[in-house]
Amino acid sequence: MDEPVTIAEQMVISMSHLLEQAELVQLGLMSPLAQVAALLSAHRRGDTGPAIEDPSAFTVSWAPRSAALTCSDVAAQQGSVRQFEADEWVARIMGNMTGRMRQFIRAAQIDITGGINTLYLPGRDGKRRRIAGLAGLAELADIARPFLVYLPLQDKRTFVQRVEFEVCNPLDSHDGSDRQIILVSDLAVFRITRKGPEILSVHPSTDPGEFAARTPFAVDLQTIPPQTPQPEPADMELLRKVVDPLNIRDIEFASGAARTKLLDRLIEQEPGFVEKIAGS
Amino acid sequence: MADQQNKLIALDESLARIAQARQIALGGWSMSRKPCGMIRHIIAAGLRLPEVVILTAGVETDMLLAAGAVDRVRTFYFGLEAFGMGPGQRRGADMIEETESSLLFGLQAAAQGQPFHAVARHHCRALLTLRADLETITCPYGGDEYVALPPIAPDLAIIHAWRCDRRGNAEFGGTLAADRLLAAAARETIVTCEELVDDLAAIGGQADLIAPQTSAVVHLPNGAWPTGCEPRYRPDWKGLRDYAQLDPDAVPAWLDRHPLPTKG
Repeated sequence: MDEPVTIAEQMVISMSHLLEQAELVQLGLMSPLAQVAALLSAHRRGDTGPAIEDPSAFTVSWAPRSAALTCSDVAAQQGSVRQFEADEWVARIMGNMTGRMRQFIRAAQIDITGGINTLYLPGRDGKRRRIAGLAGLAELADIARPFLVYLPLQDKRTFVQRVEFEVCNPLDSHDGSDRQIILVSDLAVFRITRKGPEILSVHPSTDPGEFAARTPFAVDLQTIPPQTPQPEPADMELLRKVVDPLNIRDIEFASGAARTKLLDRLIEQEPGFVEKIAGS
Repeated sequence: MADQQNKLIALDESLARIAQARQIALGGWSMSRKPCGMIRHIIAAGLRLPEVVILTAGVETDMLLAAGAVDRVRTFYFGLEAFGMGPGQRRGADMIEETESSLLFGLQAAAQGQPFHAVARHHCRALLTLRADLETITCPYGGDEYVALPPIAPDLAIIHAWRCDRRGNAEFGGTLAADRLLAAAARETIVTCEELVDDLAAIGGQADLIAPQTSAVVHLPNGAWPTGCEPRYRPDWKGLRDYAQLDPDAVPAWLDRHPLPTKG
């Protein structure tokens, strides 16, 4: 690898390994990093890996495409074994996938007890309001095990003691089962259970002082947690050359002018790229 | 009595029907097959919709908000995906919040003529804190508590299709979304279409909506723009990006620069 591993790549490869054991992975409509991780997982495992549900057209496929920011229903249909209607998928398929399906959710906020929310919108009264049901979050919390969450920027506003508004808590067990949340952030990988949060690993590039400052529970810097494994060269090549050659993984880390520039580049490049996917 | 063999109506007549509706469902999904053409005609006609029901509210709903042409939006998502919030959304919206399940099951209850759809209380915990209108019931068999989701029966659904014949047999093209459910739940369904054909079956088409489900047909080529309509055209990503960056007050001028879709 000539180019150094970016934090987006470190995260996406960690995330992809957490998806491999699922029978089915939902891409998510608005989550580029989740999409790249799912497609990387599927590419790596080939037809022994998880099926991919593409929400662009509610298709299921074992023939993973490359990642694209602009969701395309024609690309989603390439190689798919079935196309569903939205209500058919949500009401009849998804609900019966308990323990067999996984999906990474980008949280707006997650707390140390497992509470999660995902999106806020401005109301006409000028106040912020949280949306109760984005991505079928409450339903997914019941089905996906472990429940997988990512944060491109872990800080005191996103990983908190208590969320401002709780859409769901995947640790709430209605069937007596033990539940866990795995959180992959730009700094580390955490597990949250009823016993509380714990650090599974810290990324190689993470500064210990910054990590302590941006984590909502006490971090003992004397006890060094394990380091998140460095990506394998084969994974990096697959990610950069096959799964995400347009580099959509960076969009969730860019803001302001840099984000606009990246978005403009993707808008220029993607139409031809998507046609290639659709025609492959 | 309506002509069963020819449900094609003029744009003005469709707008007159829309003006009578209190709750209007809009079809499509994400950036595909949104009935943006009819939305633009609604705005141009100066109509104000009391309530829009939509699964993933995007540019079509944003245009309505920017133009002050809608009072309330009932949805479980609102945004322009990678492009963030649109100008109408930034201005603020009155919303009736739903979850994927509550919206789909509410429509399903209406389609099946049920008084409510029962769903596990823990799936609606957040919704119960936001929606004072929702009631709970106790299961008469097991004793568990459920949320009784009320039926959502729109007065009118507007669905954009790839092609449709004069009888009202419509083939969507691309994503199916939940448009058959919208049509089943709504009291009336207007299909706008890219291609008007004499007989869908005769050209090898497969109806996603059959004629008895369609109340009226409006021929509106390019009627999904700037979203896409497979297999005719893809979403106009540059157009969507440009729209997302507009100031709310600049939306009417931007719309004026793009010709209104009209009968082909």
